[in-house]
Amino acid sequence: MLISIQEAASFLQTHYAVFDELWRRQEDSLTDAELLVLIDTVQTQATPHYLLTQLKKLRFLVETDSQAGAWELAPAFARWVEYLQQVARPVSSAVVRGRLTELDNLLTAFRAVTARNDLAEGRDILSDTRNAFQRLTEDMGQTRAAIANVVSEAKSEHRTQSALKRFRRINRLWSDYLIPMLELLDPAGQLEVICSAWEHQLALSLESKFLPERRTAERIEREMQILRVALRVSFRECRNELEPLHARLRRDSLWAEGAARILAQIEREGAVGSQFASSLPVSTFRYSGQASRAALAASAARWLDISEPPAVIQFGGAAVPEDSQALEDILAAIAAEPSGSFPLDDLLAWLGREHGGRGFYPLIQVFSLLVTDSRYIASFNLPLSEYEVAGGVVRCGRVKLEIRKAA
Amino acid sequence: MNEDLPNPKPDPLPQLAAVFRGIKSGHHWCFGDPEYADLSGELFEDYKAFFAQLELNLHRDSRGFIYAVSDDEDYRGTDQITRFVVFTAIWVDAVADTGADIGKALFQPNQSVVDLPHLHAEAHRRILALVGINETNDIVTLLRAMERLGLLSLDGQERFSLRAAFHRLLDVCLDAKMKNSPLTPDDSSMPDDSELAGAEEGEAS
Repeated sequence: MLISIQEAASFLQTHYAVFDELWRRQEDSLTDAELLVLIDTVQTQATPHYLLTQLKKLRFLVETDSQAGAWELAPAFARWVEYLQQVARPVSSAVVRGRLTELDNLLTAFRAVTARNDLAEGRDILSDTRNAFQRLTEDMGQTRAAIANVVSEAKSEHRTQSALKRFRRINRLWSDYLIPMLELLDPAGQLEVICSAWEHQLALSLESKFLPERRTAERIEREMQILRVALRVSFRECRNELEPLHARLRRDSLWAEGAARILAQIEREGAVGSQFASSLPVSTFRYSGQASRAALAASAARWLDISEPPAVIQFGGAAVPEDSQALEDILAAIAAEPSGSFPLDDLLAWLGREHGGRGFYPLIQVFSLLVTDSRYIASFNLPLSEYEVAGGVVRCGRVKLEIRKAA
Repeated sequence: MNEDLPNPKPDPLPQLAAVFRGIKSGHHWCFGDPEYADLSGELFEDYKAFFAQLELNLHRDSRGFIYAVSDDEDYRGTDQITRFVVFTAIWVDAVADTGADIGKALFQPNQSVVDLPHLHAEAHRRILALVGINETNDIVTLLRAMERLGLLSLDGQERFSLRAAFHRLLDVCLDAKMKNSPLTPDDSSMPDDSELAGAEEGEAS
C-alpha cells in the first residue's frame, strides 16, 4: 500500500512532539506497552492507541528483525532524520565491503559489454561505477565526521562515564572503523586491486575504441584519485582525533584499575608486611652495610685520629620501629619552627635538648636528613666532641644549621 | 690578562656533592632542579659510573626525573612507602570516580591539602586508617615525607604541587594492574605512524 506523502507529512507536523520523543529513544526497541506510555507522556490531542496505530500504519515504526512484538523507528525514516539533523554515523566495514563487491561486479559487467560492444549499456555501467566511487568517498567523510563527534562526546561525558567505559568505546571505534580504513589503504588490498583492474580495463576500452571519448574514462579515474586522497586524509584525521584520547583513557583506566586492586589487597591483607613496601625502591641512608666494612672502618679510624676502629654500632632498619612516626613528627616540628629560631648553632645539641624524648635512632636519622636537606645550609666545625643525646653518645663536630635563602 | 697562567682544571662532576647528599636521602631530581640539567646531560653516564662504584644505580626517566636505587637484593622497603602507595591509590580511585582526567587532576599545580579527596569516603578512610593516616595533619606529614624524596613540593602547610617523579607512584598502580593481568583485546594499542606511512608509501608507489 502506498502512503501519501501529504498524509505522512501532515501527521508528522501535528504530532512532532511524539517524534521528538521517539527520536530521543531511537536506540531502543520498544513494546506496544512501552510505546503507549511514551506517547502518553507527550501532550497530544489524540489518544495513545490511535497514535500508535497511525505510527505503524504510516510505517514510521516497524517491527524489529531480532524480536517479535518490539518496534523501532523505521531505518529509512531514521536515516532521513539523521540527514536533517546532520548526524554522521561511521560507515561500517560491512558496508564498505559491499561497495567493493559492487565495484567488482560492475567491472565484470563492463568487461562483458565491452566484449559485446554494447556502448549504451557500457555508459550506464560507467555511470554506476562513478557513483559507487563517489559513495565510497562520501562514506569516508561520514566516518571522519562521526568519529570527530564521538571523540567530542567522549571528552564531554567524563562526568557520567568512567575512563574504562569511554576507553572501550573509543577502542571499538578504532577496531571497527579505522582498521578497515587502514586495510583500504593497503597497496595490496582489495580496493587497490579493483582500482588497478578498472584503470587497466578503461585503458583497453580506449585502445580498442570501445569508448569513443577519453573524457568518460578520465571521470572514473578522477573519482578513484579523489577516493584515494579522501582515504588518506580521513584515516589521518580520524587517527589524530582518536589517538590522544585513546592514549589518555587507556592510561587512566589502567591507573584506576591498578589503584582499585591495591586498595582491595590492602583491605584484604592489611598493610603490615605489605608487598607494596618495596614497590618504590630508592637509595637510602644506610647505617649498617658499607659502614661496617673493615676498610671503611679503618679509614674512619685514621680520619678520626683514634687508634682503633670504633665498634660498629648496629643501626639498621629495625632500630627505628617501622610504624614509628617519630621521624616525621620531629621533622614537622622543625619545619614549624619560626625563622627566628635559626640558625641553630649546634644542631645535635639542639636536637637532644628539644627532641631527646623521641629516642636516639630517630634523632640521628633526623640529624642526617637535615644536614643533607637542600632547604638548609649545614656547616661543620672542628673540634670533634662527644654528645650525649637521647641515651646514646655521638662523636661529631659542631654542625650549624641555617635556612637557605630563596635565590 | 695573563695567558701563561694555566686554566684551572674543570670539575669533572660539578654537582657531585649535592647529588651525593640527595642520593643518601632517596631524593629524586626533576626538570627545573639546579642539579637536574647537570645530571641529565652529557655527564649522566659519568655520574652513573661514579655511583655504580658505590652500588647505586642512577636512573634517568624520560618523563623528566632522575633517581638512584640501592643495589640491594635484601631490600624490603618501608611502611612509609606503603603509605605513599595507599595515598596515591586512594587519590586515583577518588578522581576516577568523578570521571575526571586523572593525570590532569593529580598534576594540577598548587593544590590545597584540605581539598584532597582522601578523607571524604568511608571506604577510603578505613584503608587510610590501616596505614596510620586518620586526619589531615597525618596527610600533611606524609606529604612532607614525599617532599623529602622530591616527589612533590610543598608550599607551607596547605598547598603542594606534584613533581614529575610522582609518576613512580603511579607506575605502582600500573604495575598492580598489569601483574597477573594480560592485556585484553580491548587494550590493544593503536598502529603508529610507521604503519600508515608504510601503507601510504606503498600506495604511492
